[in-house]
Amino acid sequence: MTALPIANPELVFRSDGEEGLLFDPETGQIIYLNETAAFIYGLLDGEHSREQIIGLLMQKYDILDREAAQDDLDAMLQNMREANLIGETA
Amino acid sequence: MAGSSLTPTPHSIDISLTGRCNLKCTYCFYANEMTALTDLPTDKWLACFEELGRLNTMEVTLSGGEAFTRRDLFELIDGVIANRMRYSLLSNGTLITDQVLARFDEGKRRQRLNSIQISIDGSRAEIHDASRPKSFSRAVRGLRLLKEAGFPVTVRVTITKHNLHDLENIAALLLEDIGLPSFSTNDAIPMGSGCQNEAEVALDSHEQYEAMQIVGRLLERYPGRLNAQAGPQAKIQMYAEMEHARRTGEKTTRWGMGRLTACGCTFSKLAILHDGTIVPCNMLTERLGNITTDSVHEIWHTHPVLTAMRQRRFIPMQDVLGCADCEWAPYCNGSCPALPYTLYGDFNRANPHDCYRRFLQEVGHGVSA
Repeated sequence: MTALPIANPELVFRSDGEEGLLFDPETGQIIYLNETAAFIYGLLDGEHSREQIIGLLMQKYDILDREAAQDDLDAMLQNMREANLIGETA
Repeated sequence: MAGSSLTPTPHSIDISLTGRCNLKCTYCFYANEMTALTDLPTDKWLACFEELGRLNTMEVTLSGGEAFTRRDLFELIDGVIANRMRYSLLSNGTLITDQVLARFDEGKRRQRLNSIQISIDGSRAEIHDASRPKSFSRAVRGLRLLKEAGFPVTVRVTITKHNLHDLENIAALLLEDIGLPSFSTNDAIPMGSGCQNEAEVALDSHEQYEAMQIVGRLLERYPGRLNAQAGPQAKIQMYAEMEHARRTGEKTTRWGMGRLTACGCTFSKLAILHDGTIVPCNMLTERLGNITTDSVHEIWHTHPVLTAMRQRRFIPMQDVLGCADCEWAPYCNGSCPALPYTLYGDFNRANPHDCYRRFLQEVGHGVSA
């Protein structure tokens, strides 16, 4: 089974449906997410695959270039992974 | 998310954990609720914290009464921590001992503590105890223990008739002797026992002005080390900005001048009283529901009182009862609605305690920054 990206359960994710934020209760640090990042983070529930997220991203923002959407998503997930904001399902 | 629009759920909650207190302060705004309501048991609070965790609330401020009178305080703190929140404590400091501090070392209690605020109202017992009976030595002992142990301790000084002329000594005690980086001030207002004792404790306009002058001198001596959200120090800035705006036409961007925009708490905060009653603020105790029977989420989004409070910002000050003919109305924001709600049962009124027109009439001259 392929590992799926999943939000770090130790962090608090708040979104108003547009922008969002991640709150680390251990440090009190807050990371603000723009609309796209908040939309993606909301999908990191361990149920959505990378391909499904790309599809939803293209649909929401009327993106026609799938390859560009993939690249953008992969870059964002990589940044989030490096910042320990996300992990992967076992 | 960072603006003043309504947050999807409460960002933070002020929680009065208990109506019990080992002191009987002369200006306690919570005094009436303390005697009228009963404490919730541990399990109800823990269930409440679980709900707040599900709502992604980020922090709670725990107070009372005196929070340290609850034997289960640390169990409750652990409940806050288990639900991914941070917390702050408000205390009179008198029950803080080495043994109590040692309990913060367990688990993440210390790591998740944003701040612990102690109330100090005098530089010596005679003055502090005038409003906070028989507590000076224990409060200062608690404060020193916290400071020495490296806790994120803060102090609130409530300015009253008793300590107005002791403020400079209080600042020296806190900033020089004890070595705090800063402290905050406000002033006694006629709510709770402060209503019964108003003549004894609350500053009149002349004393307000004197307090502003003293705080101004202290800010010159200790730059950036005194702060305030309300009271004389906050009014120095507020009145000066009103004067500037009227003189130049340049309105501050810090608040919506000319409309009933104070305060913005209902866009991001709620409060819960010690019997579980959900209220807009622990100083504005309009009952919205109870955590044992009602959903915080539903109240947050649908309660008509919260909706009405959030609509205040659209009310022009000239339409506010008593303000129609006020020349300062275009520059005023009505200030904290808790006092007019307490006095008149109406939060859509201006706060008389902070009224600049009244201040000018009584003092005879204005304020400049």
